Amino acid sequence: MNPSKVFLNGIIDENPTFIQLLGMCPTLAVTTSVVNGIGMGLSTTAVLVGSNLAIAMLRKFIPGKIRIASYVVIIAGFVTLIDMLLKAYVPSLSKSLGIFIPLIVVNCIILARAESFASKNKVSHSSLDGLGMGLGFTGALVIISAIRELLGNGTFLNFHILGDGYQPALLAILPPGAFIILGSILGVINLIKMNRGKNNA
Amino acid sequence: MRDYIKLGGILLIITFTVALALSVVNSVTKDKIAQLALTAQSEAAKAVIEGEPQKNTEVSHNPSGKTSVDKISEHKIENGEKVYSVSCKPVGYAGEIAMTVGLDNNLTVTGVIITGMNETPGLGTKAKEPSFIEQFLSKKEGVSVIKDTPNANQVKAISGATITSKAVAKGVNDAISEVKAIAGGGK
Amino acid sequence: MLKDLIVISISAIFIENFVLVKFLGICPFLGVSKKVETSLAMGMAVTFVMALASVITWIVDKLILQPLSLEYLQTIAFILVIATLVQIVEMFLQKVSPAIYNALGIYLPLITTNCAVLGVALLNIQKEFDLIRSLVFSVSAAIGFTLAIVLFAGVRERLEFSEIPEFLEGFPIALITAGLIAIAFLGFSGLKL
Repeated sequence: MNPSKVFLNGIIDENPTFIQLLGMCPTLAVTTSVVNGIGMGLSTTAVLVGSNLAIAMLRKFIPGKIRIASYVVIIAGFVTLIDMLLKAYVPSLSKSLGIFIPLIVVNCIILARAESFASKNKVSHSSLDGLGMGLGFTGALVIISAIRELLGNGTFLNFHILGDGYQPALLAILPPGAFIILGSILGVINLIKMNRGKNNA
Repeated sequence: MRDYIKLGGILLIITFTVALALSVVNSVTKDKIAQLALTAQSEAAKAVIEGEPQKNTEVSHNPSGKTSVDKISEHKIENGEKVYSVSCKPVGYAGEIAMTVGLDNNLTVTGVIITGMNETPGLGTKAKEPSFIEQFLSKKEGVSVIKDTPNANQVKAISGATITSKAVAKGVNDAISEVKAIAGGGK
Repeated sequence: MLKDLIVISISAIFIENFVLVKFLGICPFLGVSKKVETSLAMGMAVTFVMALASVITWIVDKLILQPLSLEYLQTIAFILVIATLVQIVEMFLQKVSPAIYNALGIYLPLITTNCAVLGVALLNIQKEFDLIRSLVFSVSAAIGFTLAIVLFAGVRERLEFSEIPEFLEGFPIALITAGLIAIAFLGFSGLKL
């Protein structure tokens, strides 16, 4: 297994949001602005790398029967760490992401990677997997929040892009918009997959 | 049975190690976090009052607990007059709106700052914009929110965010009524 | 007091519905909602776990974490409580009702990672609720979750018989449908209690 393949896997082939469909809660909740999307994505990436690393290091010592509980404790440790660091050094992000930072601990992506990869692979590969998955997640969040912020507020990264005449489609930033936009993106991805299938046939 | 004890023991060791690591990080960051909260508060207070608060004149008063006000600070400015910075947390559309209101010694609003809110982005969050919040300057007690052209003691609601607008007005009114109860009506 | 509890309850079920407004509990919402019966079973299991979890985590916070200034251990403590509770519910269901146990399948242990359960425990502390309000809030949140998931299952069952473009089948149409139901719930947001 070569390292670059492990890394790229998380970004494209097994993208946690668009392909594996994991971690939906923060994806829908946090993508109201690109800043929030990037912040959440990078925080989750930090936890992913940390927990994958720790679990890969300890994988030979954790008995099978309590592995899920142990993973959860380790993941919770990293999440609390990130929470405290954000509160102290990036308080504005901590405030906007709110309850979704401690909720990173129940982000299915992290537990799924711990169980299916970090517990069975060496430290270097596991860290790369964590990084790849985390950045894949971040990328997905940026795409979704870019669409929502642009349509719903006329801005990108708080810069007015669409000009003053643009009447924002507020629905994009409200909860229903999250569902509809994510559903549409998944539909488009399916279209791409189907066309690729036809071309290869 | 012995199996369970061994498994429980290992889980306990892992938990304990993690907790220990966190307590180290906690001791490093908690002071900074507390500091940030204090700085934010005193900066908000300075921003809403008119005049320079004199050193060592700050007096804290206890709010009644019946309104959204949770902190009242009285300051003396250079001409000897008492001014007030009041922090309150009225409930808006999506939870509490943390705000600070500044009052002069006639209980007229000299400044309003919103320090924290979870309101709808693009709608309720417009409450932070000067075009809305500056309407409160120079208002006296009993500010109300209407949708059309406001008169002297009214403010215009944010279109599509009436609940947020009314919450901010409530915060201002609560601040004035609490200080009135303490200061006795102003001159 | 009673009025307060009713306000908390109605807000949690409709105005701030956990799934359709707060986005907590999406994974099981999308995963289990294909049939109305399984959805109802999931809703009840989640209600039970949320009620118990909120009481226990509240007590742990009040009696252990706060007095010892260990608030930063909240996330770890709460998730451990929830994981243990779910384990117990699993063992209980396996004995008492294997049918439900099998119907819920892997989604039963996944209640541990259900954002709604940890979310409600954290929100109770954030809103500084006392024990009664926490319990009412959590049960109402769970009822709101059940309402959303059962409504959704009803719609999805009907969708099975419709002709949908192939690229929208599965998750895409499910999400778009959820969005439409969410628009309906948006109507509650102006409710002044």
